[in-house]
Amino acid sequence: MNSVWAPAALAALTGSMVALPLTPAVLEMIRRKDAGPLPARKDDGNIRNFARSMRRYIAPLRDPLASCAQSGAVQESRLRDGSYALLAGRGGDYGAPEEKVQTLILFAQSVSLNHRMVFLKDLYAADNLFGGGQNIFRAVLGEKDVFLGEETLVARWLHAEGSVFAGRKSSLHGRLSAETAAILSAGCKFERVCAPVIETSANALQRRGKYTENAIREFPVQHGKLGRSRIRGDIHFHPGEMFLGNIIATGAVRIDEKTRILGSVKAGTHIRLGDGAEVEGSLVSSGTIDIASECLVRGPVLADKEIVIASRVQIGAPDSPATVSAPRISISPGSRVYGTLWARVEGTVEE
Amino acid sequence: MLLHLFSIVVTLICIYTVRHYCFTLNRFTGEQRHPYIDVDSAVWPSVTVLIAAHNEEAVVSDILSALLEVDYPADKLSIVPVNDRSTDRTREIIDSFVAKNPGRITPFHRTGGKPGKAAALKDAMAFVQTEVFLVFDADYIPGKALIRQLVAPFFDPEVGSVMGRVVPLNVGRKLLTRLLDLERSGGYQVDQQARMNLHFVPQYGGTVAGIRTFALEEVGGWNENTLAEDTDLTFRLLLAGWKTVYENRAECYEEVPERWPVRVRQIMRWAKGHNQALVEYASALRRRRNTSLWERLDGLLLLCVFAMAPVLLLGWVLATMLFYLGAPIGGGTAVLALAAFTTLGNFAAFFEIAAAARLDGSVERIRLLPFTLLGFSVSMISVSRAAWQQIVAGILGREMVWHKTERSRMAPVPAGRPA
Repeated sequence: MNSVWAPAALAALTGSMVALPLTPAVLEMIRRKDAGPLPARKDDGNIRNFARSMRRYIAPLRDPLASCAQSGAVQESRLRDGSYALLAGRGGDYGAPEEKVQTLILFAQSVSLNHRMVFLKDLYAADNLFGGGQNIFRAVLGEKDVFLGEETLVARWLHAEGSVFAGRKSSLHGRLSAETAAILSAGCKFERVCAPVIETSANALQRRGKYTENAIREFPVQHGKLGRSRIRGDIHFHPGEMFLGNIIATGAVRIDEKTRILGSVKAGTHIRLGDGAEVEGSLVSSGTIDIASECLVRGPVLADKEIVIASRVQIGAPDSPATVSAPRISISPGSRVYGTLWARVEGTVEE
Repeated sequence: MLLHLFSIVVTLICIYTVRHYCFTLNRFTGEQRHPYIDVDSAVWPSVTVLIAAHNEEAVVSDILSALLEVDYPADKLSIVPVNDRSTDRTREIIDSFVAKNPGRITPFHRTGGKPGKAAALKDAMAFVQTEVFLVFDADYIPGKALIRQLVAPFFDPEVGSVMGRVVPLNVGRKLLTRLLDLERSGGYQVDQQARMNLHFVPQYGGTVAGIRTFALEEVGGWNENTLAEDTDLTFRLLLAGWKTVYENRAECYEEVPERWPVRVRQIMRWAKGHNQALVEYASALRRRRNTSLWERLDGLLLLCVFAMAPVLLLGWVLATMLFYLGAPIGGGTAVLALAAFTTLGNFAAFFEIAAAARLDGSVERIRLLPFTLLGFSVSMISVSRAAWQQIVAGILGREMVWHKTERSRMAPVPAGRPA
């Protein structure tokens, strides 16, 4: 007996030991629990997608909201998914200080919010929205202008069909977009901001009323193929020089006052633009970018680490939007970006 | 003599093992670079999209439909299907799209000339009047944001080419497709992104990719004498001082081979093309002083990657011979055995695959890891065979022939494609 069973047992045991590590693999092969393609991005990445999604979500409340606007009533309504929404037809002042609003709220008319109100669900404003100081919003969709009081916090996103005026020391997490302009006051923190024009200001709320643009500085437009100059190490352009072409340096690029670069600039470490310097193309750095006051940059400004922008700087133009992107961005009041400001970690408007 | 040779083999394999470990650790602990992903507002340049299509009746309608829906200014997007001597319904399908979408698609029906993708692309350059052009194989399905993602890096004046991430679509079809899905994940999610993070040499992969027209002209255009025009171009651009960048979030679905013979032919073609580039550019890269030391080192390791399969086989033969000859090889065999498993295959060592699956948040598929040994073994033998054929062809003066990868897709992908 031993002569039959012992080798069989040994073979079975050895087989089991070999098979054991393969068991999860065989099971996965048979059950196919994770056999679908990996998700690939399907959306177009548009910053307004959240606003569009919310518009679709509240579409059934459009008629009841219009009725409330006519009657001036405040009423509760229910959405298709069973959640409640508060429809406020009355304009003017709204809410008690430090009140917490637990439901989605829709304002039919222009409204002024009290200080320290907290909106735990999204807010929709069919007309202008005047926030109070230290308001906390989850998300805001405004069909006209949105004014945020000082030290407001927006947790997820804000979109205004008109302009957004953010009060001092506001924290604008997530996405902020506006169809006309976004004006950020000193002390504001931001992540992703997109608008035809983004302006930093000592106090945006002093500009209540329609946004009017200050003088726009024009760029010379350069056509045709540009050559490139590759420099191993650093390069320094002296005040008042003009350079035609793209510059690529493995080290730092220093462009002094009033210098004009009719092309793009790439640096391996650092780019510094002196007062009034102009760059027709893009600025790209594997380290940091420092832009002094009164500079003009037409193209995107991208840095792997940090971008510091002084006052009275213009990036992009109305007819040529641009993106400023880096993990950290710091801007002084009085500068303008036409397009997108995207700080992956934190953006700050300096005090 | 044999012992010295064995030591060299073990050292080479250990270098690749360390390389793979470094890449994997970088993906988990290093700073992740995606410098161009946030470019949202810009004056987008005019772009030509070339679709390489040789007998692609099964797939060409999917890519044309997808490209017509992308989020890119229509007046700045020129779609050029390069119908390269197709004998199936590819021409008919392309022409029906041209008729339905007037002004959007400019077909190039190539009826003669040298076979091969590089040769077809070279002829198609007559249709490229834009400063940037993108290249897709016909079995790819670009998402809405993909064109912008691939074009954004060209705002950097140093960038000559861009590579996106390839994601297999037909994963669940066979064990082979599941193994290739794992291998692709490791190669892109870990290997390519780590090289991007470390400022090394991400590889231009020939599809889901973009090229600056001026850069291509500067390096002499497409090389139609190579079987891997992608690797060839990566190194010509590098030698000319242009960067290739990798966009991990620019994902695009592709169809991977569903039959082992198709896979074997594919990897043999890659190996031969890669080895051509090794012979052509290794020496120039080693001497190149205008490129950083790390770029040169990584570039050389990348060039040699397909040469490692025969080196590995040689290591096993040497280890066996030395063992029976009673040579004092010590722990060499063990080191070789350990390192062999981590360097088999096309870049993606098994721990890279596990890391990639984790980074992708797709953990169940890690269970298939033991089966990757099968895929790696087939790759090792195929790549070694390719190297041998190449040596013989070189001696006999035979020209190498380009083979298209067969498609398995039977019907167009439905509109709500998997995501």
